[in-house]
Amino acid sequence: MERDSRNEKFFSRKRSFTFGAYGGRPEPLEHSILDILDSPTSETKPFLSAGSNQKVTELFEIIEKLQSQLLKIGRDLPLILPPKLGGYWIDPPLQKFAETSPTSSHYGLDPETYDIMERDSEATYYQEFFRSRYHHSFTAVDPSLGPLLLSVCLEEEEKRLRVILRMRECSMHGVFSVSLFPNIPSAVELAKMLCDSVTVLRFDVVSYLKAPDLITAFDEHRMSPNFKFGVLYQREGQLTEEDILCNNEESEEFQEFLSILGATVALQGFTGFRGGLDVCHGQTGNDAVFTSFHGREIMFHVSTKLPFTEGDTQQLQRKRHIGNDIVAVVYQEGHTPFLSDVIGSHFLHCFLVVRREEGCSSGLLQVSVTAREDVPPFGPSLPDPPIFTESSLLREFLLTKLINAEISCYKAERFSRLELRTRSSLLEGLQAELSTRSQCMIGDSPVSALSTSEGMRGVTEGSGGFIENFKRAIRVRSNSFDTLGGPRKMGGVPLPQKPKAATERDGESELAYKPPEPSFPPTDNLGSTEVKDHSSPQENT
Amino acid sequence: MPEQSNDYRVVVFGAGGVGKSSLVLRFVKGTFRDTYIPTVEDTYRQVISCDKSVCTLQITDTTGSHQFPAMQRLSISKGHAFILVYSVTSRQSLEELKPIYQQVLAIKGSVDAIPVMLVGNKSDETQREVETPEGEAQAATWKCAFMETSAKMNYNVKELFQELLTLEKKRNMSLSIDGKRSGKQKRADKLKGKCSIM
Repeated sequence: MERDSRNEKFFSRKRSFTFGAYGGRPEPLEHSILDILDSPTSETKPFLSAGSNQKVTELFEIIEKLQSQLLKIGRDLPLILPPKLGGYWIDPPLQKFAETSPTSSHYGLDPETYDIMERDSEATYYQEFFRSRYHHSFTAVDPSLGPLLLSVCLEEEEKRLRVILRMRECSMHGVFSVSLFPNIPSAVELAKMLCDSVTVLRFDVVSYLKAPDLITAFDEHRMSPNFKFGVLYQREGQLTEEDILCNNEESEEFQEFLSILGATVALQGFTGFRGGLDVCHGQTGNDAVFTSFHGREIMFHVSTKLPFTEGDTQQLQRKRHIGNDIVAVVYQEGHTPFLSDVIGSHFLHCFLVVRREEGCSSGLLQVSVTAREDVPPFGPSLPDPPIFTESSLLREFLLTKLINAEISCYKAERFSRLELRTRSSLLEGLQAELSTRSQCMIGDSPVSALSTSEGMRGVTEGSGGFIENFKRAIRVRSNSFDTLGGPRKMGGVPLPQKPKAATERDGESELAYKPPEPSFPPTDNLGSTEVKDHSSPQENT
Repeated sequence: MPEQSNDYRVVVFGAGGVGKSSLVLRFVKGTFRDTYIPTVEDTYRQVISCDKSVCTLQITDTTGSHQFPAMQRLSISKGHAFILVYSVTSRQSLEELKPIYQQVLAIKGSVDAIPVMLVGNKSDETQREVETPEGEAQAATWKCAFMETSAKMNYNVKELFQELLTLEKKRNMSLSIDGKRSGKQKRADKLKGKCSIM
C-alpha cells in the first residue's frame, strides 16, 4: 500500500498533456501537430478514433504532412500520437520528445528502483498474521457502510492487537499497542479506530469452523501471480488495426525483441500459465512467448504467432486474445507512429511502444507509453532520454512497467466500477453466510435460515445447533459401543482444515471465494438415521 | 443499479469473439455491428409483464477473457438462466465452454432445474468447424437445450430467449417481442399467466 501510494505520488508529476483532455497550453511542437491534424484533410472526421473507417489514403496524407512538418523541426515522428479527441496521456509528452536527443544525460536506468506494484498489498495479511494465531472475527451490517467483517488478533509476544476491517470499498488494517488500552477494546471500538464512519452499535461474533477458509478466499479473490499481455508488430506505413493484425512475417529484429520479453515455447502440452491459449489442440497457434519474472508467470499473445485467417480483415482469431488484454506492447519498425486508440477494445487501456533506432549498430531501443486518461501514472519512470542500449536492462524495465501498467489500469473507471461491485457482492454474501452459519452453530437460528442467502449451499448443522447435534451423535455412538464392545473412530465434525494451496489454472485462483460445496458429516451405519435427520444436505437455491 | 428481487437474470457466457454481444444487442436493440470490440461486461434490462405484475429481464453480457474469475463466479451465483455461446466456425470456442459449464455445475450444484442453453452462433458462415450434430451431442451430454443462431442474419435470436424462458420451471414466463400475438396466444397467456414484453 505504501509503495503503491509512493509510486502514485512520485509519478503524478510525470502525467503528460493529453489533447482535448486538459485545459493546459500546448507547447509549440504540439501546436504544429494540432495544426496539421486540423488541416482540411482530417477536418471532417476525428483523427482515427476507434472504429472509424478512414481511407488509407487520407491517413497517409496526414502522416506525410506530419512527417514533413516534423522533419522541418529536425525530428522524426514520435512513437505515439494521441487521438484528436483526446482521452489518452502519453509519456514522454510530445513536447519532451522534440527535446530528446541521444546525447542527453541519462537518469532512471537503475533496476534497483524498479518496484513492482501490488494489486492488493493487504490481501495476504489475514493468511499471514491471523490464521496461525488465535483470533476472532465479527460481522455487522452498518446502516451507511453496509456489511462489515472485522478480524482481531492479539499478538501476545509483541503485546499488540492486529485488526482488519473489511468494507465494501476496501479493507483497512491496523496494529495497536495493547498498552494504549486499560482494557481490550470492544469490536465496535476497534472498528471505529480504523474507520470513524462506522455507526453500528454491535458486532456479532463468528463461530463457524470454516470461517477462516472463507475469509481468506474473500481477501485473496483478486490475487493472481499470472499476467497476460498482447504484443503487436507495426511496420512502416501501418496505421490501422487491420494492417497491424495482418502481419505474418517476423523480422530478425522483432524476433530478437521477443527474446528479450521471454522464451518462445511450444503450446502443445505446455503446463505453465496459458493465458487463455489452447495447449491441447493447437487452435491458437503452435508457439507463444512466455516468461517467469519475480515469481510471476507472464504469457504474451504475440499477434504474428496467433492463427492467421485468410479473408478475415479483422483477424478475429488474433484480436480475440489481444483485444481481451488490458496492456499490450507495440514493436515498431519504421517511423509510423502508433495511434493510441487504433485497436477497438473495451479492455485495452495501455500500450508500451518500442521502436528500434535506425542507423545505430548497437541497436538502441526507444520506449514510449500511452494510456487512457483515467489510468493513474505508474513506475518505473522512463529514463531521459527514453532509450535503452542493454537488452537485460530493457527486459527488467519493460516487464516491471507492463505489470505495473495492468495494476494501474484496474484503477480506471471501467474496471474499478466492476471490481467494487464484485467485492461488494462477495462481502455481502460472506457476511450473510458467516452470520447465518454462526447462528446455526450456536443454535439461535432454524436450519431454514441457511437457504435465504442466495447461492449458499452446504450442510446444515441442525435445528438444535452444533452442540446439540454433537451430543446426539455421541449418544447414538455410545449406545452402539456397548453393543459392539470395541472402540470406533468417531465421525463427528471435522476440525478446521488448513486451506489447500491455491492451485492456479489460467489465472484463476481455486481458493477464490465461492459458496462452499455440500459436505456430508461422516456417519457410521449404526445410528445413521438419527444423525441424518439433523444434518441433511441443504437444497441449492 | 441495485438488483431487484424480482429481476430475472440471464447470463451469457462464451469465448472471445463468438458473438455474445452481437446476440444480446440483436435481441435487445435489434442492431448488428460487424466490428469486433471486446466487452468487459454489459448489462441490459428489459421490462416484461408477468401475471399482471412487472418484472425485469436482466441480461448480462460477460467477457470472453479469463481476466476476472471472481466476477464470473458472482455472475453464476446470481444468475437464474445461462446461455453458453460458441461459434460454429471455431471448435476451440466449444472447448472453452467446458470449464464454464463445470463452474456453473459446481456453483449451482445441478443444472436440472436451471435453464441452460447451448448456442452455436454464426450459423450463416460457410467455414464450419462444428457441425450441428456435434453441438446437439454436447447439449445432450450436458442435459441442456440446444440451438444454432446467427446474430448477423437475425436467425433464431428471439427464439433463443423465448426458449430459455420456457425452460424456467419456477416461474411461468414467455416472451412476445413484437406484440403480434394471435387471439389464441393471448388467451393462452391469460390462462397460464405467462409474461410478455410491455
